[in-house]
Amino acid sequence: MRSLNLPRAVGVRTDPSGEPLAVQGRRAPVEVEGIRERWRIDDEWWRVPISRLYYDLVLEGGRAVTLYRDLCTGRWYLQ
Amino acid sequence: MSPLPPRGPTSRTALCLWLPTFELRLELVRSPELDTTSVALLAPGEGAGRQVVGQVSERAARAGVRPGMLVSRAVALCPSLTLLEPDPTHYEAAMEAILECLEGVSPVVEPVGPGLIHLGMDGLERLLGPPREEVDRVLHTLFRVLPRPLVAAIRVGRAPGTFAARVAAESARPGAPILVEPSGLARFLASCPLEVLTLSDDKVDRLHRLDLRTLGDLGDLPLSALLRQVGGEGRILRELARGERIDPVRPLHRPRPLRVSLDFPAPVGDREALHRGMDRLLDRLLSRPERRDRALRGLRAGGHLEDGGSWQVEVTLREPTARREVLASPLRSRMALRPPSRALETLFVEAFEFGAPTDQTSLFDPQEARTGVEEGRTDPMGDRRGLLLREALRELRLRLGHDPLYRVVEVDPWSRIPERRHALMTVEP
Repeated sequence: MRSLNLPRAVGVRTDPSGEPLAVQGRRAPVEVEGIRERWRIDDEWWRVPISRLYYDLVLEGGRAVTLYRDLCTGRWYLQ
Repeated sequence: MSPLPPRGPTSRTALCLWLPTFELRLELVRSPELDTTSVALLAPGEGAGRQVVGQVSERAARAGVRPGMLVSRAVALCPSLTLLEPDPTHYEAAMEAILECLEGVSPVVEPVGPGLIHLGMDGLERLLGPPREEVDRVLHTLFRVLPRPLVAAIRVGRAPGTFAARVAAESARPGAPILVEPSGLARFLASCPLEVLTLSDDKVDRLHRLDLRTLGDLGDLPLSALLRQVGGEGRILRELARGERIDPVRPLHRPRPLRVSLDFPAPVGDREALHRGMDRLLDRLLSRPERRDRALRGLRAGGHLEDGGSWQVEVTLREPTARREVLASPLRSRMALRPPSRALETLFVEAFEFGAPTDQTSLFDPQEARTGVEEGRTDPMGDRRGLLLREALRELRLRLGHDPLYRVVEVDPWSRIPERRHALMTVEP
């Protein structure tokens, strides 16, 4: 059995407040055109805490992606 | 409106059409005898909380009634106040008719909110004429779907980018559109008050304390100072204020909604009966060929109330689905939170947002398995399709040396952690 929709690490350029401005594409960064939604998940504080800030983004060209910032490590993941 | 990503062309030149108190004006068109009285629309409320006033007519405003005020206080201030129940179905139908009408003028139409629309005007000069004529043509088109007093009350702004066009429309008087040329954009914005920005009141207060009153003042402030005052959004605000950021009009892709409805022989107020009606409608919706096997994500249920008005609730599911019980559950919860205020004469269910087709998963649908068992087959893939599939799998396994076919299984479908909801499992031949 294999988990589906596993997060993949991704490079993200942010503005001073930490909001994503561009997401690393295959060749070059792709600008963020708009943030459709953002939500936070905090879970399993009793085990290994999970704390993620999710963004539902529309990238330049119209592609929609969901990514999150791991608030424990500060790293970005595409999901 | 469902916020789907933009598709198709965009337009830098924006025409903003704004009809303030859109819903109330529609009510006054429906009941013209109220036009000379003090009228207020009730705000759509959640649950059985205390009701507050939504939009108010000019006459009611003169008596001191304000949006957000408790109904009891509003009536105390204005005893002759007529309170109207909101009719969201009617407002949405009117908005839909306006959008369809405008799509005949420009291919780039962006609904922003009730009574607020952006229209892309790039490349339309040769078709519609100079800017002022463009505006007249657009308004003239609206006569097809709106009565004359409503069209006459529309405020219009035309400028490069949606921000400046909206500011122009908000500053315009009915019948006197404000047209801003690209060369005059910075000058026009510089004189506008800070309040045109979508900033919280405390941030506006903070900027006022720094003696910043207009967009011109804000644009002159060094970026670092602005970032200190309002945080990360300062960069965008400064660009907007200086006319350096041009947000284009983006057409919103609106999939054609699918609707099924039911007329009750007598008004129904019983919750159980409404639930049963909703289940029947969901079954009908799911069996409609126009669904083209798409899963449903956004659903709306509503109906006409006895003695006028309408009721409506809306849900957007995290995962699109075509299973009736999964669709019904959030609708019922929403209905429990916001029940209809009176009995319903009609009931409808409408799907307005769709997911991917569900055809692929039906190959391994548990329903298939159940059918197989009911028919006395111990192997759920024991029918002809199952035999062919099994044969194909065996061949693929021999050729590739591993199991190449997987099925998606639910592990913890309601988990907040996305990667824990589903998994891939090999299909055993």
